[in-house]
Amino acid sequence: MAKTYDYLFKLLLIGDSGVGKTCVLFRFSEDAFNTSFISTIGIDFKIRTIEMDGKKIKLQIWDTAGQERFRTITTAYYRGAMGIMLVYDITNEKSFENIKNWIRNIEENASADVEKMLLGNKCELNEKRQVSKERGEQLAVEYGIKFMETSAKGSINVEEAFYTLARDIKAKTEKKLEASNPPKGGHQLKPAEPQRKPTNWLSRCSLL
Amino acid sequence: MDHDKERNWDMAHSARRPTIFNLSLQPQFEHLLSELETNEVSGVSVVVRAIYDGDEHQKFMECLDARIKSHDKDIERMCNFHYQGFIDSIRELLQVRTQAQKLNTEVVRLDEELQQSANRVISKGEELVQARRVESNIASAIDSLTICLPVLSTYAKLQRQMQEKRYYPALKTLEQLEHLYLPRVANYQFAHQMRDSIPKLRENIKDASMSDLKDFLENIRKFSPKIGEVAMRHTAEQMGGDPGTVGGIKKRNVVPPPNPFTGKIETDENEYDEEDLSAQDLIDFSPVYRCLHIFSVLGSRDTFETYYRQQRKQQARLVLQPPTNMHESLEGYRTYIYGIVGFLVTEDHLLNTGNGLVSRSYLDELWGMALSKIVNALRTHSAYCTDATLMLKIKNLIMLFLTTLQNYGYPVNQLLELLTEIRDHYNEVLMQRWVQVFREILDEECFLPIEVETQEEYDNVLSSFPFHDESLETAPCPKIFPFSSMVPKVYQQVKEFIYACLKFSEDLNLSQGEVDDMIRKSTNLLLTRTFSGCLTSIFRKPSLALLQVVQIIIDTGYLENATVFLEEFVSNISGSNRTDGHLTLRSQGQSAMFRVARDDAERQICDKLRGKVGEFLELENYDWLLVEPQGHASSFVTDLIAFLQSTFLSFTNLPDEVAQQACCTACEHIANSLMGLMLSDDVKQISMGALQQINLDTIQCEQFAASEPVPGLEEQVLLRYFADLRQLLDLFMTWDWPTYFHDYGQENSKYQHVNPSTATILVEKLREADKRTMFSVLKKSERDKKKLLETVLKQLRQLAQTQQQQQQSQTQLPQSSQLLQPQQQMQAPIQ
Repeated sequence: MAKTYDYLFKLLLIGDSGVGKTCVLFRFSEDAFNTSFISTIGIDFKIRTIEMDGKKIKLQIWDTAGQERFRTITTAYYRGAMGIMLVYDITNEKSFENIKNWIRNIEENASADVEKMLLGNKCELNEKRQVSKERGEQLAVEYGIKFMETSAKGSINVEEAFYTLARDIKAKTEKKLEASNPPKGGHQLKPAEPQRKPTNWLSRCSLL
Repeated sequence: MDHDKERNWDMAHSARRPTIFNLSLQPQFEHLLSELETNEVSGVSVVVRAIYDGDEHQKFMECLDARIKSHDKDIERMCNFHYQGFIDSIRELLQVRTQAQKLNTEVVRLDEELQQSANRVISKGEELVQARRVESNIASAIDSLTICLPVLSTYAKLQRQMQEKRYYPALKTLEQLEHLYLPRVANYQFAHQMRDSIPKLRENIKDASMSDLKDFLENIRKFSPKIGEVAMRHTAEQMGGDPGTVGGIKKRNVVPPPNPFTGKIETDENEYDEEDLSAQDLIDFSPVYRCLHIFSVLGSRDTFETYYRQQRKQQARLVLQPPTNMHESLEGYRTYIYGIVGFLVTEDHLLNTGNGLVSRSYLDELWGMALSKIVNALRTHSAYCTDATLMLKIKNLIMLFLTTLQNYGYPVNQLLELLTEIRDHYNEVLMQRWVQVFREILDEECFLPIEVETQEEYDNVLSSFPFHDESLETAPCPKIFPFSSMVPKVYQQVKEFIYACLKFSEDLNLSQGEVDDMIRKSTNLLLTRTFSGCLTSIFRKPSLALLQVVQIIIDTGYLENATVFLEEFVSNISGSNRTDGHLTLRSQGQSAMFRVARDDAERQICDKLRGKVGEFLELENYDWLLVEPQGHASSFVTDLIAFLQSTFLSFTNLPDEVAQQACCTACEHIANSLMGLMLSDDVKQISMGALQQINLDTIQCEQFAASEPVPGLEEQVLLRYFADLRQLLDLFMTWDWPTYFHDYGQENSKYQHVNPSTATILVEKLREADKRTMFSVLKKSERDKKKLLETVLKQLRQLAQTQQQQQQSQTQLPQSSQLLQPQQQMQAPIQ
């Protein structure tokens, strides 16, 4: 059977409740916007296939509930994630301040080499802005991650954000692939197993 | 006199002389002389003859002379004798002469005097005569005038009455004039003129009163709405204030029983009087009466009746023509209905007072015509209405209209039926409004359990939704209700809806049962159609997550439980006293209201779950030519299982059977999909390694199925979905074909679920995969393996073929019995 994709990237959206994670995802997966606020319960995901450099990439994007009470369910999904979108609401100072808590969450639960990105959502509400773009950028620099201001409603930068994250993951994956099997060998699976930990180690080193 | 005296003298002498001569003369002469002495002329001639005839002439002469001498002597003697007397007489005569003269003057004087007084008398008399004549003239003039005056005064009165437009008295006067007064003065010129002018006057009166009637008709047309308005206001007052409150119906229902019939009659009569007054107050009916009188007096009552009725019918037609934009506002309806009521009240008034001008049958006919038009107009226009408040107002108006007309004795059943129709439409309108309400609630809803921070908030929720839970009651304060905020909101809205429904029914004089039925019917419709419809559209939103559907199911469950309270609520507000048995029966029926919504939600949950599972399965990337399995389940399967586990964890609030249903659906879908993957036409070859990988994945799924992901589900139930897959994989993993063929068709067969045609496909794919490794043909073991494969394939095909034939002939029978026959045949080839 012909493969329907070349890569499968699992992405995770995290951030405070109400910052618009579901809307960002909805904009990306359905190219639509829903004004009514339906808070996410537990966890949900959407899949979208994109093409990049002639490769078909399936993005399975997990949308987590921002509310504290779902935390136990959602943290279970951190581990499998290859990329994490940290989302805050530019009209909500608190959601921005909480980003560092979310980062801590990632450090505790996600694999170390996970790609991260910071999104300041609802940028169409400039008049209600509480968090300047500079602060967002500064925070991103602090953590060494990329930053974008998006608007799910205005369809600004949503596509770009996911593509950026996907490109970074792709680059990393391809680099890893090249590194893991420079010689063409028949047995890929056997070394794959033990290989996992070293990569983790390596990435952790790079972080350090 | 003197002559007489002389004669007397002659006579006396003659008589005495013969005596003297006779002695001396012959007698014959004596005779002749006496003859002469008579004064007879004729005698003279005779005497003369007698003398001539005789010869004695001388003798006679002598006698005659003698005689003359005697006579002379007589005369002398006589004169002597009378002389003294004569003198005396003359003296006396002279005396008389003076006296006569005196007397004469006296007489002349008297005559003069008399003449004078007579003249005066005569002049007086003449005056008197003149006066008498004048007097009699005056008397006769007076007489004539007395006769004429009433005529004239009557005529004047007539004129005045005409001027004052009091036509009926004028007509009476005219009659009087004609029959009483005019005959008395028939010979006068003016009377003739009057008589001639009478018919003309009559015509005039007729015309004038007719024009009055026309004015009246015009007036009444103008005033009709006003009359109608007043009449309806009276009715409204009679009905007791504003009937627009819910409390009103209860009060009204309570009051009538004490005085069931008499009271009603009384009130009706009272109202009658009031209405009559008001109708009369507003409009002057006298032109009609007058006109009617006039025409009846003039003997053309029929014409008048016909004219009047025709005119009124035309007016009725105009009144019954609803304004084109009536449906836009209450004002339109009001104008229309006031017009009609005014018209009918007027007619009714005339029925009672118009002396038969308006007859019952005419009115009935008119009403019949009007009623159908009214009903049509109201039906058509109300059908345009989409505003429930306006409809309520219209209903109240119609109700008032109906009551008013009923009070006036018009049969209004058709209007009541119309109201029922309008009520249905009203309910439709309400339904549409509540679609909006529900939609808004659902749109705003995030389908999260209500979380309350304080006791106050907790009480707030409880006040709007009947819910009781011991453990929640005692729990510390951040409490979480099992349902979302949609539940109290929807519950309140259903109550609102029931209120709104009821609002239309009040004053409709429906029995409690009818009201109850109506409310239940509409509430039922509201929930089964409207609410469910809204939920369905919510389900269609791709953004709605599975867990929100779960919450919806939970919510509908609580709403369903609350229907008992809704039932109570209906009974309370409609005031019906239902027996308990009836109530439970009803509430059972009503729980079906939410059932539809729930069923939909349950279906939705399965669909959503299936969709999610499908998405995971899309991520499948089996390497069908895999030589060695990975040693653990594929990542999409582990993700799927993890996802399902966390999902089912949140199903704990869901009714068990729903969760079970969902879980079964998921397992079935996974099993079928995995099976489908292997058997798919797109997959041409499958290596044993790939098969082993699928086996690993299946084991993972089976572990999940066995872990009791939702409570109350027996282990075997979920595993049964994987049974087909499991047996097929077992068969291939162990390559246990002899057992398969041997036990085939037996109920306790280990591979009972393995269909020969399915197995055929899989074996064929294995063979295809094997073909790729060309070099394997060289090995003996491989050749044997291949040979075996071919044999198995052959037998399988045979089996499949027989099975197919059997299925064709025995479609009705269960599979196990069908397979009895081929199983016997199978024995031989295997041995």
